[in-house]
Amino acid sequence: MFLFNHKTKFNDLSITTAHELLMAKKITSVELTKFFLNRIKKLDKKLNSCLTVLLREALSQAKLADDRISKGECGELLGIPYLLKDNILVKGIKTTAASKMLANYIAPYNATIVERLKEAGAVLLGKTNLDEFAHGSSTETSAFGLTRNPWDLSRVPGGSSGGSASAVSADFCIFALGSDTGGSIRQPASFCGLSGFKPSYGRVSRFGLIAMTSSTDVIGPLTKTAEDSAIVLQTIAGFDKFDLTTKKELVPDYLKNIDKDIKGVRIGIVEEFLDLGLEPDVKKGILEALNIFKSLGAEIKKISLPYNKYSIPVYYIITPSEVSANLSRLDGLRYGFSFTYKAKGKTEENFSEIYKHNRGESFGPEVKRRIMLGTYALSSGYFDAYYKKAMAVKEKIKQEYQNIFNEVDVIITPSSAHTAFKIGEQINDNLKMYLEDIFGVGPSLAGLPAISIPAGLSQGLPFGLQIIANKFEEEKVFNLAYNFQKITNFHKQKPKF
Amino acid sequence: MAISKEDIKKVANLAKLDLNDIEIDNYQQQLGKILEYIDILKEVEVSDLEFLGLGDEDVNQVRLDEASSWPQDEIDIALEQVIDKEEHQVKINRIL
Repeated sequence: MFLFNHKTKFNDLSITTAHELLMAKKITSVELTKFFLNRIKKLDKKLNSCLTVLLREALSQAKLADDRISKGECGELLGIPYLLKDNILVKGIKTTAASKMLANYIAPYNATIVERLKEAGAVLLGKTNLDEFAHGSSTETSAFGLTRNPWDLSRVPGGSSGGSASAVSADFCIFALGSDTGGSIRQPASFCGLSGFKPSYGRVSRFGLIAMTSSTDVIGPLTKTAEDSAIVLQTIAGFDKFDLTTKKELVPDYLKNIDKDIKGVRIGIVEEFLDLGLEPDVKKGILEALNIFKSLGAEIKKISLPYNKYSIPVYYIITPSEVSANLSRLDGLRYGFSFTYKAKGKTEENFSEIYKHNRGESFGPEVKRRIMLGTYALSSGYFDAYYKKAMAVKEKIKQEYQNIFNEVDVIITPSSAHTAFKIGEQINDNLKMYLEDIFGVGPSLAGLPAISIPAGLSQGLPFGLQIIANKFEEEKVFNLAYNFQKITNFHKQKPKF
Repeated sequence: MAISKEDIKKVANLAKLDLNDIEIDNYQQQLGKILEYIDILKEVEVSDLEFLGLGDEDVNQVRLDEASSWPQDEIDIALEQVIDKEEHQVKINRIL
């Protein structure tokens, strides 16, 4: 433990180190909260990672947490400041999904995970930027301006949870929550040098998450260490009567065996992935990481996932299809953007025209593109050729993973083929942007847990490796990641921001 | 796969989206390109599959269809955002 005095900066604190200091009464939650709120105020002009900052609310939550600590409570998230992606509902607070459609929307209730974090005593500092409705891989499609990467301000932080990733990387909070549908936590974690964890589908409640693709959406943490991800998951995981896709079984203790050695663990490495246009440094870094796992006693086995090449086309049928259905509820009448209704709200106004105006005026180009694609794929005459076929191939992808997990315990892949790209470089090439998710989509379609952890730097920019396990085997992911971070320092490297 | 301008207009109508001429042109090109890429799925043989989509672990869970009360403050927040209302109900134009 390091010695604390009032000049100490809290930049380096993880959940575990902050928790120790709080419990030892060397710092208070109010001090921590003020420190991070000040940083956001001073520095977020450069990044635009936060859409809403909750000054008063955060300080009153911090005071409450300090009271609970003084009464002897000792929960691991008690008094720990965090940020939340702005597609997750907080009662009485603006929740925009980074869309003009919901620019003034006030959430009437808390998401289940927000309730659980509140009970645990975590302190909510504010809401973070994202690609509009989480549609994107760069946080450039937000209606409220793009977010920048603290490692290089001319580059994207990844997406769609780019605001959360950028903020944790810039030390604006100790952890953040994101959502991951096809890589939206893991790719930004890779671009910003963080540990980003996507739980198994059904492990964490989606109640209060603005739906994008209901069959693969999952909420998960972006943290400074893999152990921190396990701590956050422990709090937010478990059955929720408001989301019946959550698993009823008890949530295991993710920290109990996290430090167990990994002797004899079978790691699968997908041979063909190493030839998918990886930057040389990324390829080198992944191979070196495998040697590190080997030195810790793991067995490396070459495997092949031939159906993975179909994961992007499958994803870009299923996702837009569900997007078009999920966003159809947004009509600007009950809530949200209203273009014509007030101005021209006469009885002769055609209803269909009101919907079209409200939606046409307030959705951005990527959202419209996905709604169009999904509506087309689901329309009469094309349904069998696109949606039904995609669902069948998704099943093949799932089966392939299930079979592979008879041979290996975990699979390791790059998190992304490259480091963060330049702002504007890919925004006009939507197909190239869709291919950003090449390593992320497979585990999403199969509902598997996966983490991205830092694995090195290439020309001063971080890149990550991905560890995937079979469904509901998140312990294996954390165990491997923890052991890797115990003997490496990649996760401790910080941007000169 | 080529997609016609008429198809784009038809889909936009189904999706309840106002699109201007530039958007129609853009989406015609972009959707065509994406669908062309997606055509790779034609080469996958799936006739051996016994079921589609839902695995065993995802079987539907059911609950009773009962009305449950919602906290009044949450109802108030929701209703404050309605464009037009009358006595706790959303007021819209006549449909017919």
